[in-house]
Amino acid sequence: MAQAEHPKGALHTGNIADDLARSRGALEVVVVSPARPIHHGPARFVTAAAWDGQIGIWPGHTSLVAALGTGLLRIGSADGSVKRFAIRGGFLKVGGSKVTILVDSAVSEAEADAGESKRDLDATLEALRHPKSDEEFRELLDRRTWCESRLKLGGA
Amino acid sequence: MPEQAKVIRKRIKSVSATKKITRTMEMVATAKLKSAQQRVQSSGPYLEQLRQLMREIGGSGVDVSKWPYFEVRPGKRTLLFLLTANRGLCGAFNANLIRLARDTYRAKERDGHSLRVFAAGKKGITALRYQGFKPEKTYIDELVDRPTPKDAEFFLKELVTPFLQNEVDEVLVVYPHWESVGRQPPTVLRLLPIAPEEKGAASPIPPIFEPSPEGILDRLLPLYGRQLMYSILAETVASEQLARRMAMKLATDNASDMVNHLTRQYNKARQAQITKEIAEILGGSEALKE
Repeated sequence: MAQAEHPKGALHTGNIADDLARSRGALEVVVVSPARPIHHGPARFVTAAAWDGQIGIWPGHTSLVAALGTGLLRIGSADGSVKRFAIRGGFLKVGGSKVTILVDSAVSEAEADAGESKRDLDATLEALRHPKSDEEFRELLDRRTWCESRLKLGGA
Repeated sequence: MPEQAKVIRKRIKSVSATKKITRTMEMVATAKLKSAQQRVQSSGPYLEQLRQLMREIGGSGVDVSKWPYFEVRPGKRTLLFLLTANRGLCGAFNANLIRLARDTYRAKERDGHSLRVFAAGKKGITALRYQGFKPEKTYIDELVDRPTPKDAEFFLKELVTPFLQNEVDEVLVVYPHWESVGRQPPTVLRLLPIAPEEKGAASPIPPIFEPSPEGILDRLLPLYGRQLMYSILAETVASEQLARRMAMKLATDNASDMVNHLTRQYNKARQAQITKEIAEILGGSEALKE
């Protein structure tokens, strides 16, 4: 792809997301759980499972406070590597170039146990066949997503 | 004299045995303190971030009066929750907390408040009963060395329920606040209603709230309460272990000093006995010569 000089001095690649990332610097990402700080470092982008779908953050994002749901959190570095976590509940806050993610529960790729996740998923699917109430049904759907997210991390 | 040496030897043995116990207790407290301190330090950033979020939501102009947790009532019904340790041998740790709870109780009473007392920890419960207070609810087994978020949820429910059911107008917690390794002052924390300063001031560029400030606050308040209570429990355990380590270190040092002192006394007594025996032998041989 032909490259042109970006008005702010960065290379214009034709990819809007790349342009934003190059022109406005990096993000500083902090991830904390109730038990411990999980991650702190620079990043090129962040995507997370928000309460109603996926949310993506690039440098230059407006100030935002969003409730998180259950799913995957991805933190992309400038070198192209992506760190992934399975998360369940919490908040994402963007202020300037700082992204703070408060998670209720989080599992990193290193901690993910595919066998255990599969067992949990099977038990959840079994329970989902005969939920006793609407509330339990919603809870089980959330647990299913949580198990599936951990399975994805475990390489399944 | 031989009787005295024997008595001193017995005392040295007894003090040495005590020293062994205090030294072991010091080591156990040191090991427990390490993990307890870790819990305090690692739970801090999350609570601080939740507090910041609370301030931002407060600054967004959301009307918090629809959440009962913020409701400042004119009534004078107070629930006082005292946290102490289940075990003693930790210096003035328990005594200081009990004193602060008692002083707070009396000060509130003078202001015309009617008080209910909940107490966790065997030492606090016993002392309050001895001093004539009647703790309405007591918790011994629920107070553990390794508190978890589940334990925090349990205590939070116990304290929040009377407030939400309009049985009390404020909830105070007396606990040792971990400021640093050198300082854990007994502190009175107003758990409910949530203090106005927590609502914060308006920020220059208000953020976008997804789904809405109200929706965020709905999700945030239970987590905030749980984390605050978890932090209180973790700080209490860490402060107790630190106090015990200090107390046992002092006891061990004192025992060492005592053993040294008694050993000197024993040596003196033994030497006096030897001198006496030599004098007797010399006296005897002189008598034989004559």
